[in-house]
Amino acid sequence: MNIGLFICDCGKNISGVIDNDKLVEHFKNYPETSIIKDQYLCSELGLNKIKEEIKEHKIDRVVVAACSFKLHGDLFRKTIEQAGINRFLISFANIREQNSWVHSHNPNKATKKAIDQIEMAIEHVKLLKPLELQQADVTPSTLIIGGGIAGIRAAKVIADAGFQVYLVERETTIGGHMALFDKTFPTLDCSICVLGPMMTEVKDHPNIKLLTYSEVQKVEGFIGNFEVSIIKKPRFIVEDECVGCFDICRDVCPIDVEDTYYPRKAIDVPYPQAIPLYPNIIEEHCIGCKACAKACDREAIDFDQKPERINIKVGSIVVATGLKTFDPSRLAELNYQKYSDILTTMEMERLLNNDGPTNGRVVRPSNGKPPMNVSFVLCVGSRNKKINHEYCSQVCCNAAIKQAVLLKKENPKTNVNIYYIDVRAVGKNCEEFYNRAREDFGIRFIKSNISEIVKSDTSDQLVLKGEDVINDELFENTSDMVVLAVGIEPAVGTDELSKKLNISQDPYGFLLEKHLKVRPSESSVNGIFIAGAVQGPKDIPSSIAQAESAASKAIALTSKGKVELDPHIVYYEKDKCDLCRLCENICIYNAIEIEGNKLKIIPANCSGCGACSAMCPNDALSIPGFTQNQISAQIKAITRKKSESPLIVAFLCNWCSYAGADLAGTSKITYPSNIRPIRVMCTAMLDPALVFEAFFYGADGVLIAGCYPQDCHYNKGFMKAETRYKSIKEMLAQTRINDDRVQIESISAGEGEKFARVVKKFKGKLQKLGPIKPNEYQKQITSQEESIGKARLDEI
Amino acid sequence: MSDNVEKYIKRETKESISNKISEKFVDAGLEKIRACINCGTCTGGCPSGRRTAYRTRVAIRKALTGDESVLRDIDIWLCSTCYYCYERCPRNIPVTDMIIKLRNIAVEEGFILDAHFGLADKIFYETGHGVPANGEGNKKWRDLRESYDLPPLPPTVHSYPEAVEECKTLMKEVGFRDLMDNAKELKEERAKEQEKEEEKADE
Repeated sequence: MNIGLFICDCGKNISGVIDNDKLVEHFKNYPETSIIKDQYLCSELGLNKIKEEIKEHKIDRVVVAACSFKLHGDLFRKTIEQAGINRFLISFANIREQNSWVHSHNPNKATKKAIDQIEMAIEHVKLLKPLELQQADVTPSTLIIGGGIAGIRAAKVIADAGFQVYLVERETTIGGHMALFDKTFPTLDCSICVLGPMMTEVKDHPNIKLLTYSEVQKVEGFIGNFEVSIIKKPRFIVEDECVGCFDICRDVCPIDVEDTYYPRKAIDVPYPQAIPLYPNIIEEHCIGCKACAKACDREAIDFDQKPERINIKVGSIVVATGLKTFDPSRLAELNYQKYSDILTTMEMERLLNNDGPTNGRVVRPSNGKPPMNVSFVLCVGSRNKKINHEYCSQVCCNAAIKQAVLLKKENPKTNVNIYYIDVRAVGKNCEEFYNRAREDFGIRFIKSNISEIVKSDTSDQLVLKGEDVINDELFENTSDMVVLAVGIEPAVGTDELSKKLNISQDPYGFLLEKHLKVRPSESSVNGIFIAGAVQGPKDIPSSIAQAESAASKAIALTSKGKVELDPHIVYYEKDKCDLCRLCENICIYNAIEIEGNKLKIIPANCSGCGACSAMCPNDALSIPGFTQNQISAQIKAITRKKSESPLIVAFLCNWCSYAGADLAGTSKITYPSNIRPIRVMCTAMLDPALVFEAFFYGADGVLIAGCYPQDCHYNKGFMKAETRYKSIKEMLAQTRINDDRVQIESISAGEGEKFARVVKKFKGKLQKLGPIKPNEYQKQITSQEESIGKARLDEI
Repeated sequence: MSDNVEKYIKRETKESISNKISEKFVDAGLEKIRACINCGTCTGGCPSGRRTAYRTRVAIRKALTGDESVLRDIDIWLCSTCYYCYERCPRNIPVTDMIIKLRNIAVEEGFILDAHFGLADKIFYETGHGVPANGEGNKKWRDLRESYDLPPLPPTVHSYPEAVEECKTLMKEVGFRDLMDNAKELKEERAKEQEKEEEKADE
């Protein structure tokens, strides 16, 4: 083995603090190591030098002591591959961001730390094994779940690119919420006139297979290879025979399904623009008179239809299941259930709609007369911590303003008041629309959150109670009709669906994206994309934008035909495994399956978090680069000399805390040099045995730093680490080591300053405790425990 | 235009904002006051505010912005602690607890109403009873108790007069006495100052 150690000066960035000559001096006689120094390793010249030196000295493994690997790691990897070494046989010593930039106040200690860091990297690289990039084929088709505007757009984009699409919709028609709206804000264009043609296009597209009145039952497999089973519910209509005339069967049906906002017959279509235009029979309402069957001359009605199972194979999935509006009966003070003249914006939409129950005439549900006073209440079910809806639903302000304008257009004499906490007319042209509502239409805006809605004692009107917070005045305003601008929740069944797909949800139940800013349309599982309001409240333009983004992701995957799988995934040694199934339970990615007495790893599902490897009692599972041995070798390299006291071994998660430590470097925030960071992919991969090992070899403290539980890259990784941390503390007390010597922290990638603070504080604490010694710690017995103990003695 | 026009032109400006009240809130674990978005839900639903000048949101707002006049005003004593605001606040702020805390601070600063001071200082401290049942004026309570076959006086300091001293000791120990004395002192000082100012103004 011949290890090439490349040390970078980085101009004066590194050599200005760290004495690089001392490093050369130290490693000159280090076994199996050739040492090469350069001013700028990342420059064209530097990279060529690396290639030349590798060939000249027959180097077969590489250590780069330079900046953070997050900056140029891939560059160095590709370079050594060009020189003929497997690109994974490289290790990095981060002597810039996590050393010279943060320890400039003490060059001497910085140099000592650099020596430790390089030794760690050398010991690490010795144990690395070459890895091959794995590939898997991609089935060239996409499943889209949900046929609202987002699903329709995504289907069209993918199908236009020439790939097969299956569009599954739970209802009898596609179109979703948008098909139920009358007009859209801020342009007031007719909603169904925009959407209708798109719906038809989806039905007629040769690359789209439309499955309405169907639900996804089960999903198995991984990126590129999903197997999906779908249940098609019976419509009791033979679709091949039905021509969609629907008035013949409907008109003879004697059963009216009574509903204020969605009235229909037992056999009917939801609305005349429905796609596909087949009626369906609602089983619980049908009395079986068969009048429709007699009336239909095409014999298209089949009362014996059964649910049908459809199995398909797809390479990617787009989830666009949309939203459900908030049920205001959860806020008892608004009396929504009690008075029929209190409606939601969605119900108001039905009254405004030409296809609605009143053919577009807005009337009071209680007496059928047009209202002269209408009040809108904003933020119903949004921005409310009481009901765990802290978020802003983003569309309700604009929707209420739009409806107010439509009311004013219908009858300019109607008084319209909008009660608001803040008006958030976000979106292109929406603020202008809001201004027009005030100026041109004379809609009154009153800053107040309504406290209570009651019935008037003297008339049939409603009374809104609240405080006009601008005037500091209380009011009791009467109104003929109250419209509650209800917020947005994830669609019914999102919880079940996310479990079937094994994708994560946020605390409100919306589907969680991979990264809020840079990966907004990817779910936590590779190959499953998310679009529209199921990811968070959205208006129509944003839903379409996200749908097209998700579609382009799916197209990219399909058109490439193959997926490259990161080789840093779990590896399995069969002989060590005793099938205890602990790994299967802790894995949230379905990457480990036990069939019979065989453990099977599904490489494409594994995210490489390593929670399983830390769980395995026999070390049968490991992640390359982060095996027990490889981490242990680094611990030994740190503790061999113990170049500083107190000495802190820190395990930093790759995504948050390591990046946070790098940020402390780029922000030049200084902190004590006592810390020796070891990078792990996730704090969940940290085996507690390694913490004990660190103490055993003489570390004075161990810091475990990961993400905040809600931003964990591996969803629940940090929470798993926290659970283990508790048991580590308990076990330390038993082994008579002060349990203050181990600490867990959440440090995000943006918290360089917090990283420095944590290190400073932890060092201070360890300094007080002094160097670690055996049996240092006697657990203090509180007087209460003592008295309990005595009492027990008395009992005996 | 009359010469008196000056008095119609209001030029009220606030003195510099202090953090005293909000710091005390934070110390008491009530830092949630900062979450207030001034939506007015508390005031709008307040049954006391419907009948009085009390404005819950304004009291909270003043506490947050450091306007110490909230301690002087009678408003905070008009809350009936019915907890409507507490139930409805969309920010989950324990509004009623905030009002009670404001009262605590007001008393510490010597802003106590005469009636409250009288009740606390005289009746509660002297007799050990918040609502006494002895004496001539309270015969109806004793009659009521007897009508239910209860002894006319409850088993409190009324039945055990020697326990009054114990009650006093207790109230001294927990600092109640000091709180009252301090409030009285501050209140008297303030009254004197005001008198002086009025004299000056008269001159």
